[in-house]
Amino acid sequence: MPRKPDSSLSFLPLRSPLLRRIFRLPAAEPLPFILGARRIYILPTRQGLVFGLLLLGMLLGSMNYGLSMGFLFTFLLAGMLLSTLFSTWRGLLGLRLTGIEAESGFMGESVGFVFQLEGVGAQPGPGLFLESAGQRVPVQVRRPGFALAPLRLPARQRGRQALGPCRLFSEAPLGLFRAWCVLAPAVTVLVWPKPVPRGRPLPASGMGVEEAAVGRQRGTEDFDGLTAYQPGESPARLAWKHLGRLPEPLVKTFVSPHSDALWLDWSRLAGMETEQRLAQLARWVLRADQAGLSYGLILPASRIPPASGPGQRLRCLNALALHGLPDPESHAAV
Amino acid sequence: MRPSEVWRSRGPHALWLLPPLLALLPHLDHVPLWLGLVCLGVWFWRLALELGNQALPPRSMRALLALAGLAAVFWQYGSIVGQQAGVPLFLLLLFIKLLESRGLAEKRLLLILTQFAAMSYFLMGQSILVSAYLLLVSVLGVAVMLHLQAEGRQPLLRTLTHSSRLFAVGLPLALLLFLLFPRLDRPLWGLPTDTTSAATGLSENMAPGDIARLIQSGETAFRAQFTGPRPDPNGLYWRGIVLSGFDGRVWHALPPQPASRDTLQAQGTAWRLSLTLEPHQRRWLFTPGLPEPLPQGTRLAQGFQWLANEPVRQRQRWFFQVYPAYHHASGPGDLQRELILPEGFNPRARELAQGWRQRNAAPQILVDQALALFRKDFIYTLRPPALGVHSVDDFLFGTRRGFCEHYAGGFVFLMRAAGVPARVVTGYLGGEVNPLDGHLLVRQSDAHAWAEVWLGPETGWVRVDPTAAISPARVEQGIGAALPATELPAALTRLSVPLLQGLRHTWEMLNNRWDQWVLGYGQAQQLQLLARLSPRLASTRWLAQAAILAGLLGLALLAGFFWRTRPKETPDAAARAWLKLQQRLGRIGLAPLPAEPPLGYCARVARLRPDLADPMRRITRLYLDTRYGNQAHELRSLARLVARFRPRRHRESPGNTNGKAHPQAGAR
Repeated sequence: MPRKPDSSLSFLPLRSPLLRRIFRLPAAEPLPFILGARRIYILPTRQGLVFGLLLLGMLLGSMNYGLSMGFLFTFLLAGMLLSTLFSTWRGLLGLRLTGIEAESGFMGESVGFVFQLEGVGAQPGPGLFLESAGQRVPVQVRRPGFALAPLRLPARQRGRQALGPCRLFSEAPLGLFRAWCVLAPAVTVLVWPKPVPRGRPLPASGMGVEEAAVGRQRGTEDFDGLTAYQPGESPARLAWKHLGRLPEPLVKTFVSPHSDALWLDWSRLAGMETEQRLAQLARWVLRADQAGLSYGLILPASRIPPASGPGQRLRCLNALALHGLPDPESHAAV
Repeated sequence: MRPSEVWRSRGPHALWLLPPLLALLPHLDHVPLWLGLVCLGVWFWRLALELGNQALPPRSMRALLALAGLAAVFWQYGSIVGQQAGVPLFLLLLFIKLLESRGLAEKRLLLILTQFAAMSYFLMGQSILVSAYLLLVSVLGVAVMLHLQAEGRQPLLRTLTHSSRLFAVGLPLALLLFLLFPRLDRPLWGLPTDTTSAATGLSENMAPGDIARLIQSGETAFRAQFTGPRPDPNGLYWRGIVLSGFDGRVWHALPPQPASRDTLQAQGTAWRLSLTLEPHQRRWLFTPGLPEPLPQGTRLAQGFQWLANEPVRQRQRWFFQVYPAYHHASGPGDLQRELILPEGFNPRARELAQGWRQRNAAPQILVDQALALFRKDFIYTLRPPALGVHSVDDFLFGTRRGFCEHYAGGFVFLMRAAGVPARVVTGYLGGEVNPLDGHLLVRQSDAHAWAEVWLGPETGWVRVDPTAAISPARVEQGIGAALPATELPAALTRLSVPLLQGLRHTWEMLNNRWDQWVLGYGQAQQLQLLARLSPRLASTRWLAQAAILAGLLGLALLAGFFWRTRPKETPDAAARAWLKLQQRLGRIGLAPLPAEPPLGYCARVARLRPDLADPMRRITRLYLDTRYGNQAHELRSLARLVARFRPRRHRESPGNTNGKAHPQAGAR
């Protein structure tokens, strides 16, 4: 069962609608997201506080001993401190989160979210970090103005796992202030069922009854034509040339010559619990994929015709991940 | 590894150790030797650990070191608080802390504390050079912090410019606050009694040899600027401390009486001047005549002793006028104390004076007789031989070599023994005029002692300088000319090369300006500044408000600076326009889906909002043409279209098509 995204950002209980309102956090943030001035918060770090206290001490000392230079340097350092405050804030202002690429994973392992940021400075090491669910990664500048932050989170539960609220923060240039922005992009990733360690052997092939009726099977070797893209399909198959011109992305499909298809059938695992069945099916998918077999998957609500290759593996694992869950399209529509 | 390789590989990691060392260096001139050595030793130890990438000493050892340091400072100063013990203790603990700093946050904290350690040197001196050095240390400290924060990926040179930029951006705010932050005219807490020992200068005691020691110091005592007629500095006696008490060896000032019963009468014309006195932690002031009227915050005590109401703890300026000629008389009761001599000392001098008195008791004759004695075969020297218990006898009848305090002391002793009220006065004689701006610089080396003699009610008190009888050059040409070249202390060897002399004068003038305008900037100057803006503003209440305003203004300047300097990185105009469109549609819930191509997005928007379909299609077509179709000339029409594209959220459901429920996008 999919759980609600765990708001494990310790600093803000962002599930409360009031707080979301106060912190101007939309329920689902559309991308591209631009960090505006009103979304950036800034507070001194512990060292920043120490610095401030020392400045206060220097001010008192200068007053008591009538040190003109003490005054001047106190104010000079205060001015410097304030300019780093603005500098830290400016480091976040105007950043654009242009996309988040989700990488599925098996339950118990990890899923990935690769944040793509534009508008970062050209310097190496902008001092930006991304934090979510207790994980922290530095933002890596790939080329001037463009950076990636690959965040890996534990895959908690089979199904759709939402990226909870995350925090983009910076302590540059001096580490005396921390500026941050809390984001809640509406991005989910599929968590595949954890395959059983060993499980039953693969069922014998050729068992599929409607094999002949299926006719052509998707495969990897011979180009067959173009079909509509489905999330999770390998980007290697995308029809790039058509991408800009057509309203929907297309993928190239291929067929495999062999027809001794293997059917991984839900009903064959009667007597097991749902999650166990899915785990067993996942193991079969992996095994069949490893062996380079052409295989199909039959679930109570869906049926994937036999094929082979990474695309098929993805399709099957995604179908297993989504088994028994409500249709995502019901709320994805605008 | 060879040392050079170690430097190359580990050297950059040790960079953070540099600012603490630079902050320590100036302090070495006032902290005890052992403390300086301990700090340096700990520093080199830490450097070795850093270069060798070795483990830090255990916690117990650091705690032990800190406790030992605490005890040692207490043993040295008898206290661990206050300015005198506090600064060395802070330095010591800072260096012990070096031994436990490893991570980024700890190093950062250490560098912040280093800033404080560097600033604390201002308690010892605030000259131009010290300020410039400490500014450098401060900027470097921040540069090293930047270097640490960037995990060493930025070369120090770049972080140095970055750090200077941060300071430069904060400078307007700093200057505004410096000018307008309310200054106090008295300390916040108690009297910093522990500051006295650091001061050099005249004291309320004068034993033989005291002034000769002071002569060695080239430090500034005060500066004077005459407006109007400038008297010749040579022969200008700056009257300071009145020493009426004598215990057989030491002349000392008597405890000040609450009020003066002397009668003082100005004569002739006055000079106007400003006097910038270096802090000497005492209350006496120096004047070349009778100050009248008395400037604010000063008073006259018994014996025409001019005093400030508060000890001079910071450089202070007084504007006043003085009458170089005046009549000064005391009542008979007060004259009695100017005759007291301790019994049992200097019998031969007493005998001599009483012999003079028996022959002729007229005070003027007695004075002349004493001066004639000195003129005979006495020698003016900085290095007189030591004197015994009967110091005056030994000097007058034995060594016959002495400095001004010997002559002044001996002369006053003779006068009192002869029944003429007399006392020792110390102060300064002469000084150096800066030809560039005409200010008079008086150094500690110009210190001098002379006598005042009571010649009767009509003449009153008269200054007699017995030194002038032995060495007229001391009065006429200054101390440098009066002493043989071999005896001249280093502070007095004046350069005779004209070019260097010119440079020195320029430097002196700069220092004078610095002292007067920067270091001497206080409440009075602040109020003057406000008064120059508007006379009604000249009050401390306005000052506080002005300071707050200045702070806000500075803050706004800073914010403006950072707002203006946004990096120019946006990709191209077409992408920018497209992004704007996406944002506007996103606001009404039509943000693009992840990985949705432009045409797909356009089709979806057109399907969901037929009213927007037309402008959306035109914009999409133009975007694709300009971005991918090499039709850059269409950029402006794209930008224009996007600027006019202001979709609104539907009130009714999307299916509703009756009449004017569709706000026409782009119509405005």
